[in-house]
Amino acid sequence: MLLKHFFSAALLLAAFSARAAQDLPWHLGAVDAKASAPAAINTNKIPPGPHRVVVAVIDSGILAGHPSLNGQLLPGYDMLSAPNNLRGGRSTDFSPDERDARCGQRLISGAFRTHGTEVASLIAANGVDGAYGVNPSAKILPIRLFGACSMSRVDLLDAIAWSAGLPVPGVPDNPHPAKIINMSIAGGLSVCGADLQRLISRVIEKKIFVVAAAGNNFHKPLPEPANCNGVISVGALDAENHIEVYSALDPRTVLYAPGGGKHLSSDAYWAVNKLMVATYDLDFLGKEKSTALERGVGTSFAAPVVAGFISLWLSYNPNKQPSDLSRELPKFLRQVEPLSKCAECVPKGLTANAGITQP
Amino acid sequence: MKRSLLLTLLISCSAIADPVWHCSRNAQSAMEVSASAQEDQFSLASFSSTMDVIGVSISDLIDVYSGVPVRIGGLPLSACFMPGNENLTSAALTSLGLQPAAIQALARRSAIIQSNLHIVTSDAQMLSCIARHFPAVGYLDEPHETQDSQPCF
Repeated sequence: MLLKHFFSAALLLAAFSARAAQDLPWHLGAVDAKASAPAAINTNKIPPGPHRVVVAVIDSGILAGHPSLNGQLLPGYDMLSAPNNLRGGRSTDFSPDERDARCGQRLISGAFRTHGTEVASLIAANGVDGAYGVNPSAKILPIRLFGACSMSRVDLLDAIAWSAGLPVPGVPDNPHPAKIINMSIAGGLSVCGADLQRLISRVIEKKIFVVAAAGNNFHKPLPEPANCNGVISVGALDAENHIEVYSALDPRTVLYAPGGGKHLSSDAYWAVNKLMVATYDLDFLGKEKSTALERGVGTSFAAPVVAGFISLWLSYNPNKQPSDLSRELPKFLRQVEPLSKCAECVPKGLTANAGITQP
Repeated sequence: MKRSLLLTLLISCSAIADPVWHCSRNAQSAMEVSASAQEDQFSLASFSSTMDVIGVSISDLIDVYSGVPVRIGGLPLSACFMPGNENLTSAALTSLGLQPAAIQALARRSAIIQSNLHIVTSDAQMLSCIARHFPAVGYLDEPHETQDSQPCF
């Protein structure tokens, strides 16, 4: 048993050393700090701490066979209920459904199928294929909530409850409750509903961090779940530290992180301004193959960068809770270019330093 | 005083409304969609926000206006483009990191190679383009909701 832990630690260290020796995706920072993208979170030189952190990813499902997520996934759940689930109902199969390109006459982009896999990779990818998570020692708890058809609010509430280890009628107990819940989702009500707020408050009382995308609504106010009290809402920055034009713009936004977008005019290596994610592409025969691509654009991708950052902090300080983060956040904050459109918005970006490893 | 007033006037004259992205509505029955309450209308954050329209992402917008083929539910996505409204087009496309002039050249070429960029000359044509080339995306300076299209982000 001890030997097993030793080998795991050695493998992790070797992976991290290899990672530190090469140039990483721009959002994590460069080996030479001066060459880092202005919006990089600079976690590249901070190896994961000794504690394993479970991060729930409530999304479109995760393709478990991706090499970048090998060894990173816990048994998850498909929380999408009938009749919206083309498989007929809830099950332990958390992978996306191959039929998710359309639901009757409703058409969806192919990017939908890989969304959850891409989001999970930003948190915990192991570096295979070139996709690196912020905290490769984190474990992902996959929860599928979206298919091509609609979903219900009950499914969302059950997904959050199950992630947190709360009982959900008809669903086996979750043996691996999450410490962080990432929701790269948006919609619902313009004011957080009482049902959702009640559940989120209960989850936060259990010392669980709830992270949600601010939404890609082109500067409108926060949707649910980002607009609920206690949620760490995340807006998107470009590589040069400007708030992206598609990001929600709301004084309640807690943090901003790299979310990518338009190609930048700079000739710097980060000008591509898209996040490197583990994903799938078609080969010349039209067959799906795993790969890593600079493809991530949106607050969907900014949120897991923050979830990964918090998991890295918790890997050193496993007993910290959401109120501690609010208190200690100033250590990791960096000013972001403000927007004249929202004078009362105080945009805050994240950047790592040695404080992340200290109690 | 006069100078600052003039400056304010110039700024307000040159200011243009933010572009509003529009998408094709699904062929799904309107009744089926309206039956779904707003409190149930969630989507992945990177995608269009309502179940009523085709599911496209910001990345899809960038790709399709760059001339990169995008498929939605197995069908090619079309992009409607209004170079005549320079301010609006410039605001819409530069927000995606694209140059309107380059898109115009691409759109002209697309007429020959049967690509999916379509030039229109008015708001009415923009709406008609989105309807005719289902599934399609386009932009206007204010929200328009029709049987075939509606704002999507």
